[in-house]
Amino acid sequence: MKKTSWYLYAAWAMALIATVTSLYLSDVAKIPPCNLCWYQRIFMYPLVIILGVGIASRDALIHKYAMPFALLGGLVALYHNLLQWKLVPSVVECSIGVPCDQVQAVWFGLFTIPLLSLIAFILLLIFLIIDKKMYGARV
Amino acid sequence: MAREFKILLGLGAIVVAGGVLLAIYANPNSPTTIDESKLVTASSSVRGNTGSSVTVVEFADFQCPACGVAHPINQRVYDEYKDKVKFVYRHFPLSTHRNAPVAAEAAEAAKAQGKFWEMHDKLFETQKEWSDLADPRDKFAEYAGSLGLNVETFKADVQANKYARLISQDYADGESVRVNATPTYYINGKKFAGVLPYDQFVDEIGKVIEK
Repeated sequence: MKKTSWYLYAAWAMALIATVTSLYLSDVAKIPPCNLCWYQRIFMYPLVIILGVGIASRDALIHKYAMPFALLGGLVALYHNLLQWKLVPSVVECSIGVPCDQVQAVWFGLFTIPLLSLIAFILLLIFLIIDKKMYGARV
Repeated sequence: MAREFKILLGLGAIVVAGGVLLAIYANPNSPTTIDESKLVTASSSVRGNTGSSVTVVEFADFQCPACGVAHPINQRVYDEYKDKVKFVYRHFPLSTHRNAPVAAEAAEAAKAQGKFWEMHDKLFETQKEWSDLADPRDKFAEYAGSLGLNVETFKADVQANKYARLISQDYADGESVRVNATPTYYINGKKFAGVLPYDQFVDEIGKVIEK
């Protein structure tokens, strides 16, 4: 059986870093997540388990399980960024008093929370695609 | 133990350790970094025991559904603690709420005639009636009439956006103390974002009173 590639480990680490960072921002830095942030969390958090279990059990179907989550989460993140860049109208109602189009934090003058999320989902997809193309099936 | 599992464990330990260190050493939410002079200003709307050393400041948006949910809780807490606590309202109209700024204007126009809190209560209680209107000013004039205000003066004030600068200043003050959601409360400088459940609200007030 082929060894697990480092791209899969990188994908898992990316999901874990994104999860830990999002929890830090909401629970420690007290930046409350908006509705769109919650939807992105719904797609990102399970990837820690899906990829972890898939890697540990050398599951040949790991890409099939993980890529839909990464793709759908990435689409939500893309919409969130377009919303903050005022390129699309809002279709998500604020139900918890946190506006999705409000920029809550910026690092180095560029990196907002939705942008970091989008980068994370894109990197995840890249790692998964490279692993699938280069290493193919695992059994 | 399988090779993969060991690698996952090692990577996971590094990431989680990094997160813990971040939480301990890079917490940006320290109350000492907030300029508390921005919480209450001369133009803020105040009620309760205005001489109390215990202050509850609420940054809110009249069109925000979460603020609407918080309103009866706020009212209950006010009724219970009005003799012991100073309650302050600050405007924080969100950009996604088209009618929020004019609602804030309506509240300030009512304040000019001595009825801020009555209009404040009316706006939250009737939120669903005016939130989706293309122009809620006639509806607000109706409320002004029901509160016994001079409706013509009220309408003129709202039409002229007479209190736009005050509302903008409230918003800027809110941003400076890191308000990024509504409602956000400060209980003697300690921040609580989101709807504060009644039990937690009175518990936090109780802790401050005890001190």
